[in-house]
Amino acid sequence: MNQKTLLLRQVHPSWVQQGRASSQAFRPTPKDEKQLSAYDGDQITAVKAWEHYTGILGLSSTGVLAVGECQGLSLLVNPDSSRFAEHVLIDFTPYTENEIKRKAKQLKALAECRGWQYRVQADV
Amino acid sequence: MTYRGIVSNGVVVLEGEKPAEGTIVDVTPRALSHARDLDISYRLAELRELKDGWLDGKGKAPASEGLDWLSSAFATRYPRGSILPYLYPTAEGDVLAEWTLGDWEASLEIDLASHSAEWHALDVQSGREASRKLDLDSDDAWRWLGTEIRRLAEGGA
Repeated sequence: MNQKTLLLRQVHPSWVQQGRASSQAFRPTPKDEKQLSAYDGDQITAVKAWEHYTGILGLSSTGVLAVGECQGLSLLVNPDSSRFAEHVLIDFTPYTENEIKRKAKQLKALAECRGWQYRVQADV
Repeated sequence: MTYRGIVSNGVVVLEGEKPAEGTIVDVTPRALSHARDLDISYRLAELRELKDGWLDGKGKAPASEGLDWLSSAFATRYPRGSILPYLYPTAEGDVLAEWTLGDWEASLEIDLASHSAEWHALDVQSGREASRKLDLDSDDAWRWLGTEIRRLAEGGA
């Protein structure tokens, strides 16, 4: 993993409306303790990550978005192979809720520009 | 001349050049499908289907009475013709409204129990941002919201 690595983020179906993902997809929920899970895109493709997330972990995802700008937003990314080999954590712990909200919107906008890396079913 | 139409609070709002009064226009099924997807009551009905645990075992379902209130509030108080938001459930059982308005990413975190809300807008290019607390039982708050959305859609100057 390096500065150019794309981090693959699974997006819950309820956080997509008409193909537009919510900024919540890039904001840790209370259960996440300010650590946002993603896949290391150097180690796994978007489709394989989606298959792993939904098939092996049994979690819900309607598709995969990617960000590569964490360092530019002063977000540390730490490998966390304790869960699975390609797992990384984006660390929001230094930041207040308002700062997290701002960074999540920036990540969402960047990911949206990059486009869906994998999508279960595109909107008509 | 072909016009495109968007349904806003039950009224078809035509995009582009304003047609002359009395002009009969056709709205295509595709346009209506698009409108349905952003229609507030349709989307809130979708959120009503969520059960506790919807977020892979963790998310709280939005309260039905809260969604009733929000649906009614949008229908009666959201300024007619304003750009419709995308609506998403939150893990805490509330609703997050979001707009992408040019470079601005705007959101309104709506507390369904207290009817309060937190507005936040960020210009993702310049980093400019603004936030404000709103009481959605107040007509003034909805008027302010409509004005602010229009202002940001025009560039936010």
